[in-house]
Amino acid sequence: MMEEYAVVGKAFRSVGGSDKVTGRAQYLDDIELPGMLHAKILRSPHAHARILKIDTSKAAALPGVKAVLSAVDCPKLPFGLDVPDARIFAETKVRYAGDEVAAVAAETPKIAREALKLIDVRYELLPALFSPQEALQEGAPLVHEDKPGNLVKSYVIERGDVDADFAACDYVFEEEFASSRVTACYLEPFGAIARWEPDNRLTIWTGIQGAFQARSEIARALGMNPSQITVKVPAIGGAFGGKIWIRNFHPIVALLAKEARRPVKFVLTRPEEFAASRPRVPAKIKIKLGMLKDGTLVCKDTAIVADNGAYSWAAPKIVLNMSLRTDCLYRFKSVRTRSYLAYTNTTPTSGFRGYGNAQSHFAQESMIDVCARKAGLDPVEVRLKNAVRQGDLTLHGWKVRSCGLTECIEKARAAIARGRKPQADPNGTVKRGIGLACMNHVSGNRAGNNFDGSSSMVRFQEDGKLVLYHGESDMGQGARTVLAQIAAETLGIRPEDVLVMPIDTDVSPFCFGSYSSRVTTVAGKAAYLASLQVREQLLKLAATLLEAAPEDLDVREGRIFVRGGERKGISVADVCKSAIRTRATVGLTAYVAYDPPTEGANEDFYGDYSSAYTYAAQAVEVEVNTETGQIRVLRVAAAHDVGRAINPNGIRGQIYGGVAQGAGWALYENMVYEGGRLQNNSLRNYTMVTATDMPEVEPIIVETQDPVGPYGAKGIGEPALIPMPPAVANAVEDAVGVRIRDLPITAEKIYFSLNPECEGPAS
Amino acid sequence: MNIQDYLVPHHVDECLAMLNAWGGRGRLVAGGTDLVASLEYGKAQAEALIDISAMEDLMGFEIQDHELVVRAGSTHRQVSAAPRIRQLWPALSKACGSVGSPQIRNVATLAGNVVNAQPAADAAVALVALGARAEILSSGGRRLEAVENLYGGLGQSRIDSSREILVALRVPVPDAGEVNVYGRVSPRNSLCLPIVNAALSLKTAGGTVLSGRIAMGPVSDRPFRPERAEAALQGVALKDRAALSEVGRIAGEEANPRDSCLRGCSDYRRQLLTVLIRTLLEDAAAQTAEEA
Ligand SMILES: Cc1cc2nc3c(=O)[nH]c(=O)nc-3n(C[C@H](O)[C@H](O)[C@H](O)COP(=O)(O)OP(=O)(O)OC[C@H]3O[C@@H](n4cnc5c(N)ncnc54)[C@H](O)[C@@H]3O)c2cc1C
Repeated sequence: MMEEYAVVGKAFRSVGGSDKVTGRAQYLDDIELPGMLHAKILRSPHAHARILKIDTSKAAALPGVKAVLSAVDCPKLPFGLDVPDARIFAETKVRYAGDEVAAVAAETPKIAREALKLIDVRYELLPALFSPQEALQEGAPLVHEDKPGNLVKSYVIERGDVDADFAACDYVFEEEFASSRVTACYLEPFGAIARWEPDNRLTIWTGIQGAFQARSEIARALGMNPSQITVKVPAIGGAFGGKIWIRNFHPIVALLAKEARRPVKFVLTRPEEFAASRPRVPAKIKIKLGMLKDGTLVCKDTAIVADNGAYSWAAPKIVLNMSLRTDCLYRFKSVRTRSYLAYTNTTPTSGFRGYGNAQSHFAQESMIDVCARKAGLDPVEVRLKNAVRQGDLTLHGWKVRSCGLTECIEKARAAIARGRKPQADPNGTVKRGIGLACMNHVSGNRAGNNFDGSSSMVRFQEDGKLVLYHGESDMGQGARTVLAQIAAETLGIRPEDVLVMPIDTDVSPFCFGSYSSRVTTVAGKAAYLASLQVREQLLKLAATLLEAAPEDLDVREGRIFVRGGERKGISVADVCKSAIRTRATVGLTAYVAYDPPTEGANEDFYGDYSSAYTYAAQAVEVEVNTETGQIRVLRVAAAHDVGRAINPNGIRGQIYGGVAQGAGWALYENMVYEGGRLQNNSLRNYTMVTATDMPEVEPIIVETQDPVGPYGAKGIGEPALIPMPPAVANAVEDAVGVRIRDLPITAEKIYFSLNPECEGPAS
Repeated sequence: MNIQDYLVPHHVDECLAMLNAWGGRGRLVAGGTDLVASLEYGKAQAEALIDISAMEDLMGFEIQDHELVVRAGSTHRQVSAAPRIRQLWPALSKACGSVGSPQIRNVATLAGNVVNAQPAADAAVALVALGARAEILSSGGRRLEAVENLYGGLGQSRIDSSREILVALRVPVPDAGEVNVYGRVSPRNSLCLPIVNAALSLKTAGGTVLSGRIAMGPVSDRPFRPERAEAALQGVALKDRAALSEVGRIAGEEANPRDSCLRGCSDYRRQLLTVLIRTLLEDAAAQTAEEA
């Protein structure tokens, strides 16, 4: 039996929720500063072209225009992540349709837009590369002259003796899978406001996931010190990984504001969001898998070719995740992966819910079904037979401290079997099937020997209310709610009495940000530890006031009392007042920088690098019209091992959202390019799931009580999306016997697979 | 967008006077769901917008002299929710009910759907199959035109919204034995333009089709009527599945959908039409069987 808590695991109103639904929440675009100007960015219409000339004089002369910038006016300092190849503006050439060429700040957005039309840019078109396969060919044109072969990064990772193991297998199967280019398409377009302060410091307001990472990247691009910059994070309207890292517009607004000597606001338009944001890294993944007759998965050989786009952001790290993580879902004896990440003349790709793990799960979880079917085995039984379990040390050195994978599989399987519709309609045109896919993910991700924790500062006020400072953005996932619950539980107060502060890098403790599904686990742990320290201070002071020993005291619902003698007590508020208003001088404050007990991976990518690993199984029922190929996802049973549910409603919310986003990717989301230009750059023709398309979702919370996470908790943010595409692909095969290997699984593809005699579109 | 004035007339005469005063530089706006986007993207120009939504004499719909008169202010929501329309013109009701989303249907009008002249506009496709006529008013007088004759090319209406008002759409009341049906195929359920759509209106007697009108989109520059499929309909027994399939096949053959990287390749869309027309004929068969 797990321990019952007062606040943890209970339904609780989301912090900031009512502000959002009543329109009081302040998003970036709600912020108006005195004298503020509006910026617009001129982007390349070409995928690859040499810049012959940029003439901004006419734009600068337009009344109302206060600043015009292009590369000549800016520092030429490279920025970016593992492979810093970005510049503020394109210098000698543009590398994708959307590349930043110039920018204007003007009195109104309309004037700024007009001014863009007056900027004269002459281009000389260059041959462009639209796929990594083309880019990696001998003699291909170069996207960056100093990056031979267009190779951004490659990995070879090998454990055990794969070749010998293949030789000993009963079956060896090989298949190739491909994932499409999709965008996070959060509700609130990304943007920033910059204002220079009197002491030559810079303030940036931006709804970013990692405020401190943003501060150091902006500093790098501008040649400043991070501490000269303040990043403030207003309410964020969704992010999904697309707002972890800065964009070029961050240094651009700063420089425009400097030039104009006035604050400048920039917000992406929706077409810009589509053309110039950071889509998911598309990848072709070839898997060779060896298994025994009884279904034992033995070995796997994987080849990955992925698309980095024109500049390198998180794609190298994403491809690394793609190359490793699924190996640890089952008990493989040996694995080998060779991965290549190539530059192309397309929008730079980067992080999006799953961070590479979703792409490789589509491949592997499709592959498991293909192999099991070929071997005449039940794919779900194959998964159960090979699932990792608690206590395992995986072949990449992960220590599996808690694992509910088996339970997730069993529960999802049972749930989808209940209330199944008939497998075929009487007239024979509608067929139904079920499919299941599993997933493992992380709750944090230590890069090398870096910090992978979080910091928290809690402080009681004189009225007994608690202020909690942290640095992990709440982009709608509920970070603030979970942190309030953890602090309240630990201190024995009501969550309503915890004020979770907004992020301001001058005030907030140092944190990496909201990604890797890490916030509940690591920031929650930091908040827990800081709260424990304050609790100790609180009880010590209360003990003197109550004339009792601190170890005999307990605190619940804002009241401190002597255990057993519940009537003898004092309110937390009274103790706080004594601490602060009297000569007791007790701080009732704690600052904790917490780092989880993982060692991180070595140069060979071996090692335990996440505080906790999460597991899930999602089963879906689909309906396919055999005449038209149309698919409907009818039901989803989503079982997730979250360690311990701090906020069960929040978990369900993540599951509903992950299912929606995952189903959209599975069925129709796809950025379609022709000649390097995006054809569906608006919500009109980029098809996502709407409320009326949602399947019935049954969230199943599996609790395994992680030994490290706060109150046993692990992450949930990304996991809910990851199993959807392969689960749908597996269900489609179950329904109509066709296997779609490239996302999205459109009706058209199913139709042509069902009617191989018809000629499909040339792809 | 360079709009200098936004005018709200209260009756048709006032509206005509405003159009005349702006001499072709003003433009009617109803729900604005098409026009505002066109103005924003520079696909339409106007110096003044004349909003028809406050005109009493353009509101509502009624049955008059064997015709349904849908005045120009009527929204998709009003039409799709009316029980009488659902009963007599299920094709129109369903077509209007599948436009966009509740928010769009609450403001967008059938008249705007027709004047915007898109080949797969849901209500327009149904109106063409139903043989609807448009009543158009200008300073030159009043005229009646078949909806299907209002098209002058892709997105081009023969109604000049800077000088003329479409005041009402007139749809004949079905006789005994007449049925009408509508259907569409789209990747998702809401806020999605159809990959293909179609409406049929059939005169039947004793389970046999006497004649029929078919309209489908987007397979041409306007709602398209497949002549050979309509001819093949004559004399078809509604119970004869093979014959219904044959009509679907012919309609698919006559259609000329474009290859689209977003909406699907031509062959696939042709197949969808074949299936859609056959399914709609089956629906019509079920309807006549119910009535018999
Ligand atoms: C999000 C979204 C989804 C949509 N989904 C669909 C869909 O699924 N199916 C579909 O068919 N359409 C769809 N549409 C298009 C649109 O809603 C319809 O075409 C609508 O019926 C247009 O009507 P309106 O009243 O908004 O016209 P407006 O935009 O006001 O006008 C359209 C045109 O008609 C002219 N006009 C309007 N009224 C008159 C009149 N009385 N006399 C003369 N000229 C007139 C205007 O000058 C303009 O040229 C969608 C639009 C949006 C924004």
